[in-house]
Amino acid sequence: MLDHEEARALLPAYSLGCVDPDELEDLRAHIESCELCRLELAELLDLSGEIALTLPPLAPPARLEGRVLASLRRAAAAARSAGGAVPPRRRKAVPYLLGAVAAALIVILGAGDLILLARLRRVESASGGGLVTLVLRGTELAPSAFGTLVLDPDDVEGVLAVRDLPRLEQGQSYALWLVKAGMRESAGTFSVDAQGYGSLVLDVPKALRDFDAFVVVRVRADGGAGSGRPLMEGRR
Amino acid sequence: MSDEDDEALIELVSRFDPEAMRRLYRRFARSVYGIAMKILRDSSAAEDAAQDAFLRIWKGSGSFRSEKGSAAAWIGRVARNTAIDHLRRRRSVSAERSWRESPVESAVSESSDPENEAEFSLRLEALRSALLELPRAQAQALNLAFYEGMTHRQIAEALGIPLGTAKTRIRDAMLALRSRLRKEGEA
Repeated sequence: MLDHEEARALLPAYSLGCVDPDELEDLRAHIESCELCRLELAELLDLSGEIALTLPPLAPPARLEGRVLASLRRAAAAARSAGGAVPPRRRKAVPYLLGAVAAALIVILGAGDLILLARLRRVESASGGGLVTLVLRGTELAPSAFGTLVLDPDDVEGVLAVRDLPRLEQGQSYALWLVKAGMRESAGTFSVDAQGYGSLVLDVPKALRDFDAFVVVRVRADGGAGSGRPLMEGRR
Repeated sequence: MSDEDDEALIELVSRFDPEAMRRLYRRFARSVYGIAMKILRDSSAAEDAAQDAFLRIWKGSGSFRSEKGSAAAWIGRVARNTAIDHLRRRRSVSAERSWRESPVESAVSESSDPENEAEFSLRLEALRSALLELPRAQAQALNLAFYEGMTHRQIAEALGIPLGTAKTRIRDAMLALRSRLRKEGEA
């Protein structure tokens, strides 16, 4: 199993499709569970596309246009007859600025707390004050756990990155709960790797400024509630 | 002729607007075909790959996320990956490679939004320079990965270097290029 840094080191190669098959499965599993690696990978994939575009353009034979458009018409007709008129759309991505800040957290999480706080302030400053960074600390159930939450208070999205959370048992996951006046709302679930590292892009129906506290709890992966005892806590 | 940006065009393509498909083709055909020719070095194979690439672009247009990158870069990547897939398929059939150059025609591409296009052109120019400035060993490894579709292990064997060295060269090359583009973006 690859840890976060090992997986991250392979992302440039993955963006080029040159990772050997024996490493692919582990790498994909990590990417699937790590939003920060996905964000970094997106940038590298963009770069690989741009490298391709540095090649000199070349005019294709005139007949190619007819071939291409005819094949597209056929494919669209087939999709419509199969009930899918257009390719599916995914949900909205994390805003670019938030993504850039989240990518910075990859480095931050490997540092000590003093360095962390200094860097976070710089990140906040660079964001023009639009983003807020909160620190989540481990409770007695996970005293060494540490995390950062970057959010846009006026929006419904944010990014959480944690380290040193205990490993999960089969059928469990972690959930981030948003709390206000005793009411709670789940912002999504995530898992952690062997180093206790994990991340989550928050997706909530209300603006994040509506919440006062953020807690991480262990829940059942099928959606069922766990003990509800927080392993991490942070307040605005 | 339209001055809509690439992202808006992709949105129209995802709804299969036939006129948008035509504009997309005319805007990107020279790039897509140029990429396919560079990798496949055969005009017939490049045509097949370009056709396949446009099909993949249409299929992927609904899930394209402009927040994560430009439409042009995404199309470039789809074109490159498609050509690499065709190259690998061809290699599995035969190790032989024909080398036929296609005549360069002076077709005119439909332009996209001129301001964005100028900015993107500057970015690509910076990337071209950065590619030329890569240390020779890194450039060699990157070329084998990018244009030949080789894996780390194949690159190590082709260059007669340890596997770890091949991995480091690829990683360092990509990170150097990324760093250059980030500086370009901040300038």
